[in-house]
Amino acid sequence: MLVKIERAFMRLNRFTGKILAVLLLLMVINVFYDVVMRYFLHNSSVAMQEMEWHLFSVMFLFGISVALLDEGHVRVDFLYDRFSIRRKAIINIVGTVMFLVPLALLVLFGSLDYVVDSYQIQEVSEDPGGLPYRWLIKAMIPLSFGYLIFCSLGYTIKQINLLRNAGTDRRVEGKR
Amino acid sequence: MTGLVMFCAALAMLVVGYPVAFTFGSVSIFFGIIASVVYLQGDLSPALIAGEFFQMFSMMPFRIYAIMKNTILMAVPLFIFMGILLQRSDLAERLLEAMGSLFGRVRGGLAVSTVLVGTLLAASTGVVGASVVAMGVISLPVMLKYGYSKRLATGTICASGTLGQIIPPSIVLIILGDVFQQPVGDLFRAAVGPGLILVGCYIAYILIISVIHRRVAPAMPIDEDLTRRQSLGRALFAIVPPLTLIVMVLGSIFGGIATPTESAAVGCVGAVVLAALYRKLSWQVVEESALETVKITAMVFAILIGATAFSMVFVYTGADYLVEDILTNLPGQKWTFLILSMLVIMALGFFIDFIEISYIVVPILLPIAEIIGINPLWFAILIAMNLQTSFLTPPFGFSLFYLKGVCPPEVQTVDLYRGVIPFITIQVIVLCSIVIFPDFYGFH
Repeated sequence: MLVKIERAFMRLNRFTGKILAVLLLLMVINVFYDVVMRYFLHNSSVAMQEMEWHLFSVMFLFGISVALLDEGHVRVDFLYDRFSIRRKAIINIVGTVMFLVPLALLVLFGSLDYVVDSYQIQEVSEDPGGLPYRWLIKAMIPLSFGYLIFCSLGYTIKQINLLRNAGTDRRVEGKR
Repeated sequence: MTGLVMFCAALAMLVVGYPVAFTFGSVSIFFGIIASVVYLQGDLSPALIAGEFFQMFSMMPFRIYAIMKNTILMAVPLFIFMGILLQRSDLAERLLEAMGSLFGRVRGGLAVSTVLVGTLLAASTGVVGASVVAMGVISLPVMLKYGYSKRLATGTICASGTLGQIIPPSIVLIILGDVFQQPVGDLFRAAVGPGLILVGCYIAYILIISVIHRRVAPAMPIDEDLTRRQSLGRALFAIVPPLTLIVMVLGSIFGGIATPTESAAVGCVGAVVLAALYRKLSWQVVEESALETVKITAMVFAILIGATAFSMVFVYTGADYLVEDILTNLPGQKWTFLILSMLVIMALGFFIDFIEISYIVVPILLPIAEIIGINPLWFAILIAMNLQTSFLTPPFGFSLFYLKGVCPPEVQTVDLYRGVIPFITIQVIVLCSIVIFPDFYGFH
C-alpha cells in the first residue's frame, strides 16, 4: 500500500519535473527572443519581458518540491553520509515534520492575505503594456508551498518504506 | 543575543544532515517564537506571542515576490543550463584530448593542459563537479599511465576543476552580486584578473616542479599514429567553437552590450548549436539537462528563501547591531575586520556550502564592511576567492569528493589530500596578494 503511494508520488514528481523542464526551455526562448527583438529589431515588449520572470518564478517555486522527492537539496553531509539507511530515514522523517512543514506552513499562510489584497484591488503591472492579473503570479507562492507540503507527505512515505526495508534486510541477514 | 544563539544553533542543526534550506528556515521559526517571548517579557498569552511572531514574518511574501521578480538572479538557471548542455556534449573530453596532444610532449605538459582545459571549462560551464569528474575520468588515467606522480596529477585536477568558482561566468559571483547589490557584470570583470593570475601560478608551479623533480611529470612519448597537422586540426575543432561561445558571452557582458541574463540566454542557444555541431543534440539530452537545471536552481532558491526567514529573525532581535558593535570596535578596524572575516569564511567553508555562506554569513558582514569603507567589489572578489579555496580543503572539499569518486583504486585519499596542499598554498598566496596589493588587480 505505502509502496504504491510512493510510486504514485514519484510518477507525479516526474510529471511535474517534465512540465518545469519545459517551462525552463520556454524561459530560455523567451529571454533569447527578447534579446533579439531588442538589439536587432529595436522593439521590446514589456509583456514579454514580464513573462520571463513569470516563467522563472513558477519554475523555481515548484522545483523545490521536485528537488525534494529527487533528493536534490544540499545537505551538510560529512556525518550524514556515514549514517545507516535507517538513521538517514529517521533524520528525514523527523526533519520533514519539524523543519520542512513549519516553514512551508508559515509561507503558505503568511502569503494568503498578500494574494487576496492583490486580487481585491485587481492589481496589474505598474508598467504600461505589462501583464495583468498580478494576483495570479502572487498566488503561486502559497500554491507552490501547499504543493510542497503535499509532496513532503510523499517524501515521508518514501522514508518510511526505506525504514521498513532496512528492517527486513536486517532480519534476512540475521537468518543467514 | 537571541539572534547570535540562533546562528550557532542553526550551524549545529545543519550537521545532522537534513537539507540546509529547510533547516535554516525552521530554526528561524523556532527562534522567532523565542524572540517574541523575550520581547514580551514574560507576558505569555498565546495571542500576543502569535501576534508578535506574525509581525516578525509579515514581510515574507514581499521578500519572496522580490526574489521572483529579480531578473539578475534569472541568470543563475540560464548559466547552469548552458553549462549542463555543454557538459552533455562531451566538451571536456574533446578539450582534454586536444590539449593533451598539443602539450603532452613537454615535461609537465599533460598537467599544464589539464589546467588550461579547466580554465576553458570554467569560462564556459562553470560546473565544478562536472569538470572535476570529467578530468578525473579522462586525464587522470593518462597522467598516471605516463608516469606522473599521483599527488601532482590529483592536485592539478582538483585545483583546475574549481576554477569555475572564480572565473566568470560563475554562479558564486552572480549570487554575491545579488547580496552586495553590485552589478554582476562589474564583478565578472573584476574576477578575470585574479582568476587568470591564479591559472598562471598553477602553470608556473607545475612547470617548476616538473623541472626540479624530474620524475613527477615526465614528457609523453611521441604518438606515431598522428601527424602534427592532424592533431592540430583536431585540436582546433575542439577548441575554437567553445572559445567562440566564451568570447561571445563574456564579451557582450564586458562590452556592456547585454546584461548577464541576456548573455546567458544567448549562451544557452549557443550551447544548443555547439551540441548539434558535435552531434550530441537530442530531445532527451535537452530535457534531461533542463530537469537537472530546474532541480539545482530550486535548491539554490530554497536556500535563499530559508535565509530570508533567518535574516528576518536575526535583524528583529537586533543581532546585526550587536555584531556591528563588536566588529567596528576592534583595534585596527579595517585589517582586523578583513582578516577576521576571511578566517571565518574559510573556517565555515570547511563545513558548509558557498550558497549558505553567501546568503547567511556575507549579509551579516556586509553592512560592517560598508561602515569601515571597504571597496565592495574588492571584498566580493576576496570572498569568492576564499570560497573557491573551500572546495579544495580536506576533509570536506567538494572537489576531493568528486575526484575520489572516479579515482582508480591505487590512488588513495591521502594522495588526494597531499596533492592539493601546494595548490591550496598557491590559492592562499594569491588571496593574500589581492588583500595586500589591491591596486595591482584594479581595485581602488
